[in-house]
Order: sequence, then C-alpha cells, then structure tokens
Amino acid sequence: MTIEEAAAALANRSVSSVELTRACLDRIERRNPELNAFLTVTAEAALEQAEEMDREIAGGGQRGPLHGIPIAHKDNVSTRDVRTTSGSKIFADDVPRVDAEIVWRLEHAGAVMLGKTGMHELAYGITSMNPHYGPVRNPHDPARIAGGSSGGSAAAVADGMCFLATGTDTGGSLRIPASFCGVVGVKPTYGLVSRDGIQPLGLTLDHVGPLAATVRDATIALSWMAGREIDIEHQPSLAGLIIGVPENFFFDGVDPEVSHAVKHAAEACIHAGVHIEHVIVPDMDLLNAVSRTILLAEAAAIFEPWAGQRADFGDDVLALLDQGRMLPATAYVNAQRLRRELIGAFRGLLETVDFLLTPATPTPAPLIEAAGDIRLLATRLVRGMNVIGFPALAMPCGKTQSGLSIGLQLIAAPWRDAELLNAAAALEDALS
Amino acid sequence: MTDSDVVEQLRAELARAAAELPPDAPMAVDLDLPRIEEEAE
Repeated sequence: MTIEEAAAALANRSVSSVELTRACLDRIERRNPELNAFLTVTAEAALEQAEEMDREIAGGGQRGPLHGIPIAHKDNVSTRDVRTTSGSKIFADDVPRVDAEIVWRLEHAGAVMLGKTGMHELAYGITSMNPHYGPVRNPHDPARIAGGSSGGSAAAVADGMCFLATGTDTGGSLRIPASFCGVVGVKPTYGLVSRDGIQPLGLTLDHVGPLAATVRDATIALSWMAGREIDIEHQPSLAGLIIGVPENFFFDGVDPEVSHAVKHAAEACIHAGVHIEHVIVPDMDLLNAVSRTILLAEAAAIFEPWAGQRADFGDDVLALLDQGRMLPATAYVNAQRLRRELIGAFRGLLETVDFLLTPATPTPAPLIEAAGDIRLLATRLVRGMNVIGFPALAMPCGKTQSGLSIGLQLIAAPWRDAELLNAAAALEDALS
Repeated sequence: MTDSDVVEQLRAELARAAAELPPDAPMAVDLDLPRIEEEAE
C-alpha cells in the first residue's frame, strides 16, 4: 500500500492509523531480527501518537496525506528524547533534547514515528555494514548489502516496515540504497531541506531527503520536509521533454543488465514523447576527485574533537578520517575552485537538456562478503551531484535475471525539483 | 595503497587541474554577507 492509498483509506475510515501502525510494528518484529533495518523502535509512543491521529480524523480533521502514516527517521536525525547514534560508538548514548527540523515538520504533518533506522557509521560509507550495530541486510536478498549510508531507511521502506523514511546524502547515501533496495530516493537541490538538527559529515555536501516506495510518495514527503508545495500533476507527462543520455563516463564499466535496464527506460521515454539527446558530460573523474577531497577535509574537521578516540571508530571510517587530516589545505582550496568551474559546466549542459538520465549504481547490490571495498565504485555515478548541488533522484527501472533491483538516476538543474519529480512520476507510470 | 598515497594522488590530480584555471578563479564559497543596514533592520 502506498502513502496515497493509505491516506485515502484513512480519510474514508476504512483503516485507522493504529491499524497501520500495528501492521508496521508487527512487520518490524518479524523481519528486523534478520534485516537489522531499525536500531530503535518506539512502539509505545508510536501507538499513542497513532491513537491521537485517529481521534483527530474522527473529529473531522485531516492534516494532509501524511496524517496517521507510520514513518522512520535515519539515526543521524535528532529526535527529542529518543537515542540518536549516527551509527557510531561516540554518540551511542546521545539523547537529543530537541527534534531536527524535518522531524517536527513531519510530526506537524501528522506522520507517526516508529523509530530510528540503521546506517553506515557516521554516514561515512555506503555499505551500512556497521561495526557497532551490525550490518543492515537487503530485504530482497539478505546475503547482500542494503547500500548506504541510509541503508536502514531504504531496507525498511522496501520491506514494508514503514511507508517512508528520512535519509541524508553526502555522496550518494540516499540514491545508492534506493538503487540497491528498489525504492525511490530523492536528493533535492542543496539547501531545499533544512539540515538543522542533523549530524553533519560534509559541511558543503550534505543533503537531506526522503526514501519511499513510489515517486508520488517521495514527493509528498519532500514537500512536507521542505515546507514548500511540491505537487505531482494529475497526469504527469514526458511529452516534449529533452532528456540527455551521457555518451561518456556513465555507462563505462557498468554491469550489462544495469546498462540494458537504463537504456530500456530511455526507450520508454521516447515512446512517451521525449527527445533523447546523446550528450557529453563534463569531466566526471575530476568531479569525483573534487568530491573526495572536499569530503575528506570537511569530515576530518567535523570529527576532529574525537580524533583521540581511535578505538571508537570502525576501520574504514578511521582510514578516511586519517586521510582527511593528512590532506594539505591547498588541495581543499583547489577543490573548491574547481567546484565552481564544474558547476558552471553542468549548468551549461542543463541549459541544453531538461534532465540527464543515467544509471544510479554501476551494479546491483553486492554480496556482503564482496562489499568490503566498493565505496569508490558504488559512488562514482552519484557523488558528483553533491558537489554541484543539483537535484537528483534514484528510482527502480527493472530487475536482474536473479531478481535484484536496478536503479536509474535522473538529474535536473538547481531548483527544478518539482519538474524532476513530475518527470520521474511520468517515467514511473511509463515503466509500470 | 596507503593513506598517504591516496592523499598524494588526490592532491596531485587537483593541482594539475587547478593549474589550468585562471589565476583569479574563485572558490565555491558564498559568504552571503548582509548589508549592515539590513542587519540593523
């Protein structure tokens, strides 16, 4: 059941928020021991909140489409009186006194919080194989990773434990788990959604967004998270749009099944009236080097106060923090100068096409034992968009022969989030 | 590859690319300073 369907059922009283919440809690109880998608479940508070939402509906009031809908927050999002670990040992006992802005916005929308989802340690990685809290497993094949860093959020949505979950994205952390788990992850334009109350990682790279089962559900969530009206038209259309499909970089070394599925989506666009333009994208290897440099430096600065507690970090995160401390300041300055040039180059490209269509990840979800060193591979198609701040989303576009999810990425010019989501909704319709 | 190899590789790649920039190419940093009169309001 989607958020749209649940909202309609709540409005006509064919289901209650308590029933939806109980169903999600039952699912969590049954499935979480294997998947480890939730770190903390706030069952009692969720049921109390759901009862209150039902009383409001019975009294004739419905706040909007999220009223009474069970959701979850990534564990780097501050939740008042609920432990918020950021998947780390250093924050293992952190209980915030106030909510992050997106938490109160979604609570104001009437959403019912079920708990907090697992993640890669400090959001600094993409496997969600967490050394302190255990690995998050992929619901479609628990022998595989869910992706990350918002792995618990993606797995929880994909498995039906909740209707929507929040996440963060510094180098692909919404889009990678969305691709691996077969859900929709939206990284909006930099600054569209408040980062207030969220543990930072890359000060100039961090984005906040939703993970949901469909583009329409993700749009509802993003609209409330941003506090802006973002709507999908009654019948969104792709007709007349120009979509750029990169000739360079984005399909290099990509798994053939992924490549085929994304090209099939491009063909579906053509049938829906899109003009596909084959384009050359700016230097993506340089953009990725800029991304790595800025993130190494910014993350090392953020976690400098804990630099002496080496035993409290997992090996992969510690190595990245060490590299960040070694990086000369000249490299950071050069990265920020090159960043400005690359933003201009991408802006120029997106003046010639409406959107770019690419794979989201070069492969489907890898097996846990093979996922030790896939960070650079898994982030190579997505992390550049964090450098330039343009909106980008990942959505499902098929499955491999063995049933693994394949995700595509759609990218737009800054502040064209609504247009991006409408095009994605139309593409979702075309692919269904 | 050691941590210092990773760092040196990144540093060298960015230094090469940045050498192609005009000498006064600015950083992507927006100070967003309000005018003093605006702040007073």
